[in-house]
Amino acid sequence: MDTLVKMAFVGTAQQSNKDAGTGTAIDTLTAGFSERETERRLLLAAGAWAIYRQAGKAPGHLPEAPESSTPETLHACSPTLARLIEDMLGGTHDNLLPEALERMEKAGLHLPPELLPTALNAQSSWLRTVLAPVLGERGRWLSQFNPAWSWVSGRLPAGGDALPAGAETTWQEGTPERRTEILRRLRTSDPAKARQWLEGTWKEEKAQFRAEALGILSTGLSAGDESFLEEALNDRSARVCETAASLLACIPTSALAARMRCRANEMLGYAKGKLTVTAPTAIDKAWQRDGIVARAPQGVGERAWWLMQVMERVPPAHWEERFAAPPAKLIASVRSKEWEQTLIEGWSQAASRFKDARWILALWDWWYQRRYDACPEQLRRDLISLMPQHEAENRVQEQLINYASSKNAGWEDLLSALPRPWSKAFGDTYLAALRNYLGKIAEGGQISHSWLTSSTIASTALPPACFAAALEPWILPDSSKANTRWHIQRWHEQINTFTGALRIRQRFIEEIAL
Amino acid sequence: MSIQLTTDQALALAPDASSAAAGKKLGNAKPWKNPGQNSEALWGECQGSALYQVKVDLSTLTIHCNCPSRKLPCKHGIGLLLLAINTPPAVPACEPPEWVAAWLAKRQASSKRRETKEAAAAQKTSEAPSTAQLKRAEKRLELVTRGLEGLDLWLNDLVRNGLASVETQPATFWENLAAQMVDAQAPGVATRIRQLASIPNSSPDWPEKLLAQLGRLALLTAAFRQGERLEPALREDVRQLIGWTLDQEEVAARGERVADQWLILGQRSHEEEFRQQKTQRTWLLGIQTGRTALLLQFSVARTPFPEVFPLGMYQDAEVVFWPGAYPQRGRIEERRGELAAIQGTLPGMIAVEAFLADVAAALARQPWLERFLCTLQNVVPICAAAGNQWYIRDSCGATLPLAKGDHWQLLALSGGAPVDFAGEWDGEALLPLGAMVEGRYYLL
Repeated sequence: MDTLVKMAFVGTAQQSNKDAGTGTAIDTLTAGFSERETERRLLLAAGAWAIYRQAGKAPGHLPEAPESSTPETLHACSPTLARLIEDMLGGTHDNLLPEALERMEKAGLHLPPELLPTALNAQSSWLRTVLAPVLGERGRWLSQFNPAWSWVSGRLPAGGDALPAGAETTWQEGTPERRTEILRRLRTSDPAKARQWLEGTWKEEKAQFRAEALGILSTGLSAGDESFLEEALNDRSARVCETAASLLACIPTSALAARMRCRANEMLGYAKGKLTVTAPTAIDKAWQRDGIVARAPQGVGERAWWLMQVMERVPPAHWEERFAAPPAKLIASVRSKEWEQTLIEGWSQAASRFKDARWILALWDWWYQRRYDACPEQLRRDLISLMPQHEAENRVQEQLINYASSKNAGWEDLLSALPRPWSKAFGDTYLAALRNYLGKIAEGGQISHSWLTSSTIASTALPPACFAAALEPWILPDSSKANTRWHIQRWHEQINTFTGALRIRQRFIEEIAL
Repeated sequence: MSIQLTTDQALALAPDASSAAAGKKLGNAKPWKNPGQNSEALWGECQGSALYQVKVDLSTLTIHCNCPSRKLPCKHGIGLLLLAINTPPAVPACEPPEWVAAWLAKRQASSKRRETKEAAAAQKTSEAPSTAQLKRAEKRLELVTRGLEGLDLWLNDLVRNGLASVETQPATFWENLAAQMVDAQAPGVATRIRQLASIPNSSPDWPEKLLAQLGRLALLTAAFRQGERLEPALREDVRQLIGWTLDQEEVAARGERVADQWLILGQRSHEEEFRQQKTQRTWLLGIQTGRTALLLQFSVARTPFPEVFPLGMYQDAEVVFWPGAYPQRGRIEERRGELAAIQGTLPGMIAVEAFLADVAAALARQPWLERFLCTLQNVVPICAAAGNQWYIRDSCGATLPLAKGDHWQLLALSGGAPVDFAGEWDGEALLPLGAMVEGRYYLL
């Protein structure tokens, strides 16, 4: 603390030496003050000194400026598009961001610099995934300065599945996020090499990384992976074993797949158009090593649990071959009341795991006609999402048109499982159904959350070919009844949001030429 | 004229984020009835809870709306501007309806009336004041003199007992003194004292900061007492600093007028806890003269500021300055041209050293100046310590610190390359106002 400040801080009453200098040119000036009182002299000197320092402020010095950002390799986006993205990043219709940003990536565009801080502050993983490819050189350069933005360095530059330069070094020394991404890309282009890289570092990897990296091998899986995966079945980590087992089950020539088929063959028999089921009564360590979990979840019988797990792991095509009958026929010929549903569920899981479209269609139809209420919701969505688009749309359309039927409860959930964008035909059907529904809301009844939800899904899934029809004026009925009035008011807002989202999509689709 | 504003600039007119967001929602054709524009104005009727009539004077961007909102401009005004910017065909050129024509006529009449009033005032100042006026002025001088004598004694006591003693003082310690200064008709001094209250314990070097401010205050009372010996211009400053205000007419009559193309570079406002008074500072820079003008506006109890300045734009105008040794505070007196967006390069110094030398020269003329506009060309923003320290660096490597806060936007815009920069210098750090990047001016 300077003498002057110290003196003022303690108080002149406490000081014997009453004249403090500042050690600057100010002292000659203050020496000429006519004031007698020490306090006043001190105050005036302090004022002069303050202004002296204010006027004499010297700049700091930094010999080297940090490296600047490298030129962009992608193209700049239009100001209109920048504005649209800014609004969405700000939270209005942010559910449209994935479509817009993926489209930008396809068109080779990057975000303008002024949006980067907001973009880099994104918290959710889904948003970061679609943002990373459009951050550009500037975004990656900027991210190094803020620890909260380190997630960017975990993601590789855009470039689809191409390996970046220095991939092997990144694989040896990079962050876990970058390493998994390198492995993912290599696995797409050269599956065997990817496995060899992973084998090379396998012993030094942490359990969590082992499990994640193993999961990546599901792309480009082949018989060549078997011995490595067999080895992984003995891993210390349960998650690694589980992943290895489920991958091995997907390699038709693997020993595990053969063991699994053997177990399954014991359980099903087919003769004279009748399919009989014999659920296992006990399992041993070998089963567990192959990925079968012994302990059943609450409310599920052990035998059913084991049966289902084994069925899940056998490609459904195996049964067609073994029993020489098409899926629909086999499904219809199950003769066991006790095990029928368990078997069908196991088959359904297998059909979605092995992506067997013929089985998926046949199984869906069984569920829908026989025990739709018992079909788990996730399974419904999985089956629909794996069907060819027109097959899926036909099935959802049937529910959409008969939405009032209690059997079809949850129909709106299936809308979100449909491939996007919807076909024009399906979009038109949906819009007609929505208009039809809204025409009747004045008649009273409960407010339907299904329809509200469905319109939110539709606003992101309708194809551009349906935009004109969807943006035709929506006329909602008037009502004098208090409860329906509220309902109609709610729909006014919903239609505003719905058409607002479509207008934004229309604009960014126009702005991002592909 | 078609509207020259960008969306950013229109949004910058909004008094707060919620008005900007609400304005955005109204920026489409749907809620608008009969929107239109001509060379002078922009208008439309907006369907809200009622049908509101919104009109914008394009020469000043003064927005008027008959909605009950206390915000200025309200969301309807922002919405109308956005509509005109983003969807020009929705706002066709046409004859203004009666309610717009009447408003425009009234505005023209009132600006004429002001001119006549100013002319009258100019005449009045040249006339000898009446005896009653002289008596009032004399009485005030006496009150102020006595008040400042009291202040000097109080300051001496404080230094005698030591600044350490203020640490434990309640807020009323400062407020009581400020109230005495208000009674003594020295409101400028009162404001300075209220500002002192926030210094103790605010930083490790607070005793030094407090002493510096007390010293400046002592210099002010000393200067006041030696009034006769000061040059007339500095005497004006001292009177204004103590609290003698000049009314519009006096400023118009006595102030220096500078015609130039004025860049409206940026704005900052701060709220004083006391009486919820808000002060807004808008910084202007003349392209030809290089002069800086500081436009001050005050608002009490959340009333909107009377004037709205379109930031990031420039206009041919005459600015009149409050008289003083280093005229800084000004007012836009006469607008002569259309508003246009700032483009190209920003006039400014190349070296930090040159800017600091200018500040020193200004302080030599008026030592109580607190803030300066700083425009520098080709400086690089620098982020250090993971965003906890910020600088700008000129091409020679000289740096100035940026104010506490996040400057990511500035860093993102620059990409580490030199930009033209505008900021407000408070003697310690720069508060960024805007940056010119690749010919476009971004507000910060």
